[in-house]
Amino acid sequence: MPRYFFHIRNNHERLEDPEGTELAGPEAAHEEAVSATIELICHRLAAGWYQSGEKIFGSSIEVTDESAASVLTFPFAKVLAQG
Amino acid sequence: MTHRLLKLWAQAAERDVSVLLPGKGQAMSHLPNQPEFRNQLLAKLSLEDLDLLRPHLKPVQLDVRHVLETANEPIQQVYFADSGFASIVAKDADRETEVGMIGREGVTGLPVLLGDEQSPNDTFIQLAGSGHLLPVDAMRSAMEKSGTLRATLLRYVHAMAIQMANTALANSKFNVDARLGRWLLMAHDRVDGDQVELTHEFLAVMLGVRRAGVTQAIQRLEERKLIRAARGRLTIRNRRGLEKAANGSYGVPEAEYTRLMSGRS
Repeated sequence: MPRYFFHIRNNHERLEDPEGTELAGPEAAHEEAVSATIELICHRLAAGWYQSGEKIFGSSIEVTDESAASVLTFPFAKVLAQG
Repeated sequence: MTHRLLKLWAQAAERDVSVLLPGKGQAMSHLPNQPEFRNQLLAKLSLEDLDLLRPHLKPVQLDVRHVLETANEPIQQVYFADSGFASIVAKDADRETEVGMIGREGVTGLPVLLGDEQSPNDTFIQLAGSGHLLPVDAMRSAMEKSGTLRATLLRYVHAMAIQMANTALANSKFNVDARLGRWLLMAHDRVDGDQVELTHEFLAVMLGVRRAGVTQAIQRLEERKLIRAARGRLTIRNRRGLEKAANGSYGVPEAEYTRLMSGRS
């Protein structure tokens, strides 16, 4: 199975994923990016995001493959745009 | 069982001298001049109780991911760690989370100590190290023979129940940063030195979050200069700061362990 890396883009910096995860393909990688985004937003909300003024909806998850080529970018704001 | 005490204990064991640790004088008084075992539970036992176990204890070195117990299968051996630690992991088909951590302060195989032979949880080595394996039959017959051994081990099981209760509290009421802080403090208590080797993948299981959540939490603790992260390795830079980051989620089980285990066995 191919390995995908889930980096987190916060404004100007990128938090590198040093390990990656083995997943079936790009679709599974997309699903993982959505789940990770939802979880990250939930944690920030629970940790007092609303009061903190921290800007999280400008963040995104950037998924790359083993050759460091971009597979997809999933903006945090997208989970709110659904429905 | 504070961090400082553990460090003192480890140093004393290395120097092969016996020191009287605060709160541990009574347990130490059972021992000859040099501690025979670095495992704190073994070190607490009376010579008579130790004699029941000693012939069956087998020194081993265990690698990371070494499986000590498999869910719903009879437990074969219990493990007294000298260094490194094991995790008890609860799981279903596609989720798993750590519910208990056992290092040199204790012994694996809680179901055996309670008269059962298996559990729905897995137990495996989380951080490589050395210690002693003991066949469950030897543990059972020693517990049948000695009321003091039974009492000590049951008090330890209670200490573990308290740790597990506090893990439930941490996982339901504390944010990921605090949970990571707590976990690192617990790991730090059980290793020699300030480095903990483990992957984000493992840490995600330990904290019950996705890897991306671990990546962010590590970065925030790094920004606060509490830890240093390199590939597969975390270094504790500021323990007191980590205690602050843990925000009260660390400390109760550790204090309870000291209360339960510092008495005469």
